[in-house]
Amino acid sequence: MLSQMTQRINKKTSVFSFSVVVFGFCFGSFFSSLAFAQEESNPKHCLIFASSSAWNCSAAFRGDFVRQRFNETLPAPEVPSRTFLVDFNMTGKSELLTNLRVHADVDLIARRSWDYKRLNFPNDSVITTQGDSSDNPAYRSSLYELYALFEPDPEYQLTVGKKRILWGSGLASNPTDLLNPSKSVLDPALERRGAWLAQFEHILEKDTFAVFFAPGVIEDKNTLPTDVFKYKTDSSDRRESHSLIGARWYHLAGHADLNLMAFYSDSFKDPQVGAWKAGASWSQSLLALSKQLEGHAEILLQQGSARNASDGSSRTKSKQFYTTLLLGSRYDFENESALIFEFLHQGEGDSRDDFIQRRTSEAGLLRSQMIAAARAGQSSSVTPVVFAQSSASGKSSQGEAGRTVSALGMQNYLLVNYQRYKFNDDLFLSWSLVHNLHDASGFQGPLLQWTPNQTLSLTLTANTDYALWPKTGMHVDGLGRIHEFELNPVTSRVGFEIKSFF
Amino acid sequence: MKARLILHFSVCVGSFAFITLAVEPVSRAAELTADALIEKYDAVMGPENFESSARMTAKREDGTTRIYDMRFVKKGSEKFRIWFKGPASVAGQEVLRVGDNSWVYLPNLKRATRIANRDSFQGGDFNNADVLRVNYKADYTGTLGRSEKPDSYLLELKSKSPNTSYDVIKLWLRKSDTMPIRGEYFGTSGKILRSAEFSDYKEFSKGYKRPARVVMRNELIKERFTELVTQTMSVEASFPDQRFTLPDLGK
Repeated sequence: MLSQMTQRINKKTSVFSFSVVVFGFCFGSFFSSLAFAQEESNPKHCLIFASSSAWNCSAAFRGDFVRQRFNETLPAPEVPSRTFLVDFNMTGKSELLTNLRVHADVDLIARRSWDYKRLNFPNDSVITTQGDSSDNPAYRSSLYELYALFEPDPEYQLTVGKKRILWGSGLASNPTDLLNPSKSVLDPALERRGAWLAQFEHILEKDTFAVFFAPGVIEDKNTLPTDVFKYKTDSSDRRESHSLIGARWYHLAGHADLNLMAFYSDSFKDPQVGAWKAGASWSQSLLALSKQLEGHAEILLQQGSARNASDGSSRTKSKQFYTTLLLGSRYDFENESALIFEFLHQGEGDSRDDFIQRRTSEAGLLRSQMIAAARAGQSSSVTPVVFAQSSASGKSSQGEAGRTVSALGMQNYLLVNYQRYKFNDDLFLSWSLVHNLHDASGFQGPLLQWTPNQTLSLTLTANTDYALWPKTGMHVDGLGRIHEFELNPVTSRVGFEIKSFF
Repeated sequence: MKARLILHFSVCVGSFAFITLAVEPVSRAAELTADALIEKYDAVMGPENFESSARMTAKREDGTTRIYDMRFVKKGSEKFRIWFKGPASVAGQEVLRVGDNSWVYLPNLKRATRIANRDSFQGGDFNNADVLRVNYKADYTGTLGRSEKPDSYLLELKSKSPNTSYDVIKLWLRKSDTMPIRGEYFGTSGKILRSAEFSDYKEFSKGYKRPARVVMRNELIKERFTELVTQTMSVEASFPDQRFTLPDLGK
């Protein structure tokens, strides 16, 4: 009875959210037409703002096929074997008044996944289900960005709404990005969602000072918040806020972009309460070495960590300092290609010993949970780990068909990306790799895009994991030698996309 | 007799005055130095401040075309910004140049990244520097060459630094009004890389005239060329410095 009511409420909330986004589309269309009319009648009205109003639409059809791995001794989420998705996107901006502009990036999605597979305990047979309907609805909306930008004077800008703000200079990964849903290191373009915030910027010729306040979204439906900045009452009757405050100073020094950042996080996307974090980034054209070489670095320093220690103890109140550092370089070749190398060090990540200890305790915990569930006559429901995070609401990006790797659990990684533009004029080739430097395993794959004309693009992607040498795996009792990427429930993935622009 | 002398004197003075006046434009033009011609070229093709809209059509060897609509804004010699308005597949992309710094904003990444100046300009035969950095006085030293066409100057430019897109540029300018007619662009090997033809001279603002159409040919692949047609241009436009900052990209 209760579950029926919950389902009914969920359905109503989904319908409400969907209606709100559809209304948003109509709202956007109305203002876009208004803006076009304004533009025609007063072409010089945009001298304060940088550019005039513009709206663009695209429609895409995507398919995603996954080959799964089943490990009877480690927890893993259910993964669909096939996903098909139709995606309609509207992106643009409208000037409502001379100093006020609205930006939006909204998707309407029809999506369906099939053949979710997992292991059944205790006989380890593979169960194929159609997935939980509440996590796999046929229709969705996804609000990536929707914000108003007010500029009373060119030096001052106020932004209110949902926006993706990236201050760091890293390309595949951004250690200082505490605000947005995390992106895939293999394909950063898969994640476009921002965060709800209010930001004030003081912009000068070579310096910018910015400060933002972002309330945590505790629950959302179709990326529309249903519970924001919630004050939870725990057993000791203490109230907890969920928010992030950030400030930065940007400075253009010669050929370098410099950022200094400070954050105050209060249970925002993680359990750390009242945590101060400091960040910095640098990006520079290294003309002295080569006019085609760029270097960048990004660092985050924090006390304590939201990530539990390998023995399961909490580090949220630890006095120890942890550093996350990204060092990278981009080389632009003459033939329109670019090679990007980045080294990522996560101080709070696992060493080899930590990895072994964490997996050992996880496997033991899972085993005991499964045994208890089997004795009670229930189906075993495993808990997603390492690769199943994240977003402000704890859900992976809605509408995407192809996320494979998002969070990295160990300390040191090499991230490589090669891009070749205008390959045979209409082809774009990209190859990405994330390589674990502890166990020589990783995930890699190419992306090939063909643009036969200016309104159509066809994309093929493929990813597969690898372990260079079996001996480099880490020995876990009861599991033998395993590599980090063997924990990923996806061993390989092939996807395609047909996208039309209009 | 006296009257005839006066008449002869008058005719001589008149003839001298006529010849002087007739020849003066040529001799004045002939006095133009290479540096003065570079300054005139920069003033025509890259005025101090302007706002313009343009359509770029890239024609490829297979006969297909790619069309891009853009909006340009320039402030001084160091600040330049481009918004791509169409087609929909690239709409929202932006390019910013401040001095030797260049960034591109990609809407699907919702961020800006640094780019090298030598990159090709959005799939056409122009370089970013051809469009973003028209400041030959700062980048090149010029000498006057011998033009085959009597009604034009030949200006030969040699790169001052290795950071420029071309090592040598040859420019032909009309003697009558110093408008550019043709350009040839050479790499460090001495090989011709591009050639440009300037046409459709139009007065966009009062007292400001420039070629509305520039066709850039790829001399390495003869069938390829890119046409840049300036649709509107205002040299009175003025933008605040904040429009030429990294944090402003994408807004």
